[in-house]
This record gives sequence, C-alpha cells and structure tokens, in this order.
Amino acid sequence: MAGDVKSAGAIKSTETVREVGGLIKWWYERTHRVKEAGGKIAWVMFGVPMDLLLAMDIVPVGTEQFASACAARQAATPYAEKGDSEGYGLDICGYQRVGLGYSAMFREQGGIPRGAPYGGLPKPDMYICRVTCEPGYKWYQAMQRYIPAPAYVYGMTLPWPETGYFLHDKSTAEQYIKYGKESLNELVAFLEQQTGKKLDLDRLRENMKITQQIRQLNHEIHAMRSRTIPCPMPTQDHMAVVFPMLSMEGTPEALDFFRRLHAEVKFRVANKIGSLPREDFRLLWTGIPLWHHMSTFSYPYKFNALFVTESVYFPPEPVELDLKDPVGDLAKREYFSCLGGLFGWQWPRRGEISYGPCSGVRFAASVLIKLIRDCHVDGVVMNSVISCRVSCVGHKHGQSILEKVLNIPTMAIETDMVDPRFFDEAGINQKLDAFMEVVRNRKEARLTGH
Amino acid sequence: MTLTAVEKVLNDSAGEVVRLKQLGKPIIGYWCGLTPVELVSAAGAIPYRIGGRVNESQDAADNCIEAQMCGFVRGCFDLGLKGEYSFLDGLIMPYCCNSTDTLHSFWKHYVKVPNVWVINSPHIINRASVNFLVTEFLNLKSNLEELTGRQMSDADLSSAIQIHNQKRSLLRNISLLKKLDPPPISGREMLEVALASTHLPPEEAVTMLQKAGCELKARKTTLPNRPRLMVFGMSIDDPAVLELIEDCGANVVAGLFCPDIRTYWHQVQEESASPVEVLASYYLSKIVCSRTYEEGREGTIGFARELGREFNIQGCIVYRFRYCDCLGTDMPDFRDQLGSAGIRVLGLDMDYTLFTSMGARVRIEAFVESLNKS
Repeated sequence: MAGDVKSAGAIKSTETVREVGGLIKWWYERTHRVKEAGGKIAWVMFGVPMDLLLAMDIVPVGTEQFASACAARQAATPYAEKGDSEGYGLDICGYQRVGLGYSAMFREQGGIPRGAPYGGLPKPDMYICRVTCEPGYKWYQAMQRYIPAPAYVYGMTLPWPETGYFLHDKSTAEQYIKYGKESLNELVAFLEQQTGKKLDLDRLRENMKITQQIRQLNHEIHAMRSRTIPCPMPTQDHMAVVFPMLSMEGTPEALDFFRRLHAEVKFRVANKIGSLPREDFRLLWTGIPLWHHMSTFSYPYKFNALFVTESVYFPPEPVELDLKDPVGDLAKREYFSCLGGLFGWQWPRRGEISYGPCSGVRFAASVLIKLIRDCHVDGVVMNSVISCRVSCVGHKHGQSILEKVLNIPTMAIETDMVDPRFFDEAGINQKLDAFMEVVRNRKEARLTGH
Repeated sequence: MTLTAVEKVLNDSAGEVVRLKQLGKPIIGYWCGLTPVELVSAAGAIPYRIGGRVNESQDAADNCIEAQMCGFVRGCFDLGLKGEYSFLDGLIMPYCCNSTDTLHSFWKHYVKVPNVWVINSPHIINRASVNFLVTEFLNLKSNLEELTGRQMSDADLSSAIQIHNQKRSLLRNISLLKKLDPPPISGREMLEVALASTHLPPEEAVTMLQKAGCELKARKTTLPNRPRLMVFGMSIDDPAVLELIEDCGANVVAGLFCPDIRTYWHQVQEESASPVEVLASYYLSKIVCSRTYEEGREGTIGFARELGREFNIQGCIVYRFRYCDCLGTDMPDFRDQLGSAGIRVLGLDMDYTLFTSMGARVRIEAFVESLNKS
C-alpha cells in the first residue's frame, strides 16, 4: 500500500526536475485545501485547457496523472484489482482501470480510500473530458456509477494527414477550429452554470499568456536536450516534467519551474554537462513510460547508455495568438499545438514521405526517423502497453521500417503503464542486456564501415 | 437452414462480386454502420460491407500489426492483405474507435485499394458535432463524385435515402417476426439476411428481402421453444457466432449489433431540404453503440431495454471482442441496468476468431440453463 513505498524511481540528472515531487505534493495539497474551503474541484481528462478552469477558480485534477502518481508510489495495484473485480477487462486502459477502481473504493468507503497517495483525489464537483481516445470519455461515463457529478464531454479532434487532410490546410483548419470553438463555448456555458459566475476574459487572457510562455520554454528545452551531445536531460527527467506540463498550465508556479529548468538545461548545454560520466550510446523510447518502474530508464547506465529522447509527451507546439478572442484562440491553440503532443500527433507535412504509423497511430514513422537522425540515436526501445491501442499499435511496423531505412536496432517489450502485475523486471533487464550488445555491435560496424 | 432468397448471395460471394463488377459501377467497401451508404448509392456506386472470417487465422495481419486491437477490424485487414478485397474501387472508414483509426493508416500502407476515405465521426451527440459531420459528409460526397464522374444532386440523395429506408423497413419487418414464440427465423438466419442485403445494390437488396419475407410468411415454425436471448455487440458479422450461441439451447430473437438491428431499426428522415444534414443527424444520433458518449445511455442500454420488452427476452449476451475499450467499460452498466429491468446478462470477452470458443460455449450453456430454471 502507499505506506511502503519501494523506490523504483529513475535517477534524475537535472536539479530542477528533482523538485517535481514537491510540486506534485503541493498541487494535491492545494486541491484538498480548496475543497475544504468550499471551492470547486474538477476531475479532468488530458487535453482540457487548465488555464480556462483556473480562470473560473476551479482547480483541475488530471485523473490520468493521478493514476500515474499512484503507480509511481507503488500504490496502483489495489485500485487496478478493484477495477478488475468491478468487471472491467484487463485489456482496457490501465489508467482507466486504476481510476475506476479508485472511484469504486471511494463509493464503498464513503470517501477518499484509506491510504491513497497524496491524500487521494477529493470528491469532484464536476467532470470535464475532451475526447482524445475512447478510454477517456468512457471512463467518465462509467464514473457516474460511483461518484455521480455533472459532466461535460466535448469533441475537439484533429485530422490525419494520411487521410489527405493536413493540419495547416486552410479549409481543414477552419472546419476543425470551428468545431473546437463551438465545443469550448459550450464548455464555458457549463462552467458558468456550475460556478454561478461569468468567465472573466481578462483573467483567462493572463492565464493563457502564462501558458504560452510555459509552452515556449518547454519547447526550447526539448529541442536543446534531445539534440545535444552529451545529453543534458535524459528521458526520465522529461517524463517527470509531464506533471507540471499537463496538470499545471496557466500557473505562475509552473512558469517559474520551467524558467529555472530552461536556464539549467541551457547552462548544461553551454558547458557540455551530460548526464553520465561517459556517454557511449544514445537511445530513444517509444510508448508510454512504466510509471511504476521508472528505474528502467536508468538501467542502461551500466552500458554508458541513456535515453535521450522519446516519442510521447512531446511539448505542445507554441502557437502565436493575439488573445482578442481568448476562447477562439483556445480552439486555435489546441488545434495547432497537435493535442499537446501526448502521443506526438506528429505527422509529416504535405509533400513529405510517409512510411505509415509507428509508435502508435498518431506518430508517423517518418517523424521518428527524423528524430533518430537529429538526436543521433543508436537504438530504440519500444514499450508496447497491452492496454493502449493509441500509443502502441504500430510498433511492429515501425520496427521493420527503422531496420530497413536506418539499419538501427530496435527492441520491443510488453508491459502496462500503471499496472505492475504485467511487468517482468528480470526478463526485461535481460532483454536490455542482449539489446545493448546489438546496439554496440551495430554502432561499431557503422563507425568502422564494416 | 438458409433462406433460398439469400443462399446465392452468401454461398457464391466470389461469383456475386464478378456479377456486380459487370454492372459497371464502382464498388465501395465499408465495415462500419456509421458509413452513409446513401451517399455511395447517390453517387452511382455500390456500397459493399466487408468483414473478417471467424474461422480463419489472421496470419497475414500477424506479420504487420499487433494483436492488441479489435479482432474484427484486424480480420477485415487480414482479408484485405490476402487480396480478398482487390475488387473494391474505394473504401470508406468512419473513425469509429481507436482500432479503426489505427487501421486506416495500415490499410493505406499495405493494402492496394485505389481510394481510402476517412470520416472523422464525432463521438458526442450535439449540434456542433452534426455541423462537423455535415462537412465530413460533403468532403466524402466530393470524393465520390470525382470517382464516379457524376455530380450528386439533392434529388439523387433523396432517392437514395428512400431506397435505403425501404431496405431498412423490410429488414425490420423480417426481424419483427421474431416476436413470435417460437420465432420462424433463427438469429443466425436473420444475420444472414442482413449480411446478404449489404452485398447487393439497394434495389436488388429490396427485391431479395421481399422474397425472403414471402418465404418466411409461408414457413411453418421449426424452431423449438427455448429461452429467448438478445445479443448485444459492436460488429458481429459472421453467422457462425450466433450459431454457436443458438447451439447452446437458446433462440436469439434480437441482434443489437452491426449489421443487424442497429443498422436498420430507425429510418432516415425523408422529404428534407437538406438531405446531407439529415444524414449527419441520423448517423450521429441513431446509429449509437458503445463508441458514442451519451449521458443517459438511451441509445445503447435504453435501446436494449426497449427491444428486450418488445421481443420478450429473458437474457442478454453482451458479446465483446477483446481490446474493445468501449464495450469493456460498459459491461458493468449493462449488467446492472438490464438486470434491474429483469433481463439477466452474460458478458463474454471473446477473440474475434472462434478457435478458442470452447470455454465460452460452456458459459453460454450454463447461462441458458439458468434461464431455463428461472
């Protein structure tokens, strides 16, 4: 249970990232304080604009992030088991199973389950979900069984270039942004009804300016860290940053954090400070991380190898906005920022070669190829999360494309992102040992021309 | 027993495809009930529902795509890889769920079909979603017009709506025969009729369904008196599935899945100044399955309850393919909400193929036995 936390965390390289644990604790303590003082809490799914909710004095808590936090604290298993016993299949999204299991226990115990990490999630005053993948909105639909509350679920989607409709085509952008704006206007109406007050557009503008700055900083951090040799900030540090990136947008605290992280990474780049004493091999991770065993990212250290980049949780692309129509600009921002890069939603532009998908449906193989080249990657580890169609179907195809086009070694593992019952640490470490031999041999062959 | 009217269509599918090609119209494939088949017909093309095979290994798909996705769409892809759908001139893929949106990219990459069009179907039923879907349908309309070289007028579309409505009406009338106890037509046969109607141009389907209706009216009931079941699913496209269930001692009197009841129970509004908008509204709000977000659950569980009353069912089998997040999340609600309406529920998590169905057979038999005793 949460009291006995065996550490399965990764070794972090940057000082600033080590503060994330404190930020997470602060955020959850804040939600409890707000709730106790009679304020409003919203349970939200990924992709909901946090700056909008904060402008209405609603504190959002991401339920996927809470599931990850439970996994990191080795506390997800009881909730997953409860989700199983409620009748949710083992093959459905791990975040969802943990979340529904938590909610089922909440109902059974008449409140926050005993021993929940960070004091648990307080009872929501509302649910807000943007449709990104099925588990997201189905989860909130099912939640009404356990903790009924008003819910607003809205559609805001993106086109696929494989369909022939490209993000930056004018008529496509107009169609999708119009849908997004209509959806967000209805969201505002819902929030006004729930809070009994009107949205303060100036407050929203201020929050959005903060979000703009955060996204710009994070985007620059990402560009610096992945392409630089030696790597100043490895993948496990990036994964830790996901919490302030997704859960705290629009807040001065997150802005301060990213400013300091940006300065640190910039300093490390300028002074060639890497994450290892010796950096022989650079790896790329695809798929959702193993929140319950982030130590996997540090395992290759014994080979002087580290993960320098990844195909998930790309920082959202910064988008220029004039904020004259902030709600309209939210729709524009969420469209052009490619969904905040959860699974990259990284596709080739018009005219670029497509090799089909890889690392999940929304991350094109051609983008991965570019990433591998730009970041000087020597090997790719693909985490096929059994319960996630979106992030992992495509790995098999991706492996064959990467071998064919780049002659780069790849390795696939099968796990779950939050449920440690599907994790075989010894088996995976053994595979990594063998994989690193292949990485070493291929790199030597590349360098010597043999 | 298979109805004579549908025998040829089902038993000589290869020959039927050759015959359809000789009609000189493009054949447009689809696999999802969200496909606006009226647009295909109005463009002068033939809509043709594709599927998988429950008694065939998905070995071709195994080589290029993971198994952790819907077995049905994977089965369609597998047959596509094997060349079974090389006769198609186009394929329409509504974005039904994460498995289908995954498959779109793979289909384009691996299967040689000249045109593949996606409809980004919203998951929410509201005005904004209807407006969005109208644009998607207008895009599809342009693509079909380009393929056929023929502009589609509102009158063409209205005619197409009428003929497809007539088809739906005939299918519904046949299915209503199953209110009789025992019914004159098995669940397996009903699915055969529904499937056959999706492999013909709508005018021919109407003729076939009229013949089937006459055949059934003349038939003396041969099915025994047995517990009456509904089967709820997303897409169940092989009659062998219903045969498996009925072999366990029950009559499947209501099939709430595609291409059965879900696709023909409701009609598209006729006589409208804006037929594309009417179609968008229909496909968003009437073809409702677990992939749609609905607060009150009236389109899925509510509809199942209503059908349960109409067909006097005693039990419902919720037939879920593994890796279906939509139905996987709905299972407890089905159990509870149908249960409180007096309908007992058996939830099955199945592979699409029936190679490992022995365990399910035992569970179905036990379920049917429990209905016999109650």
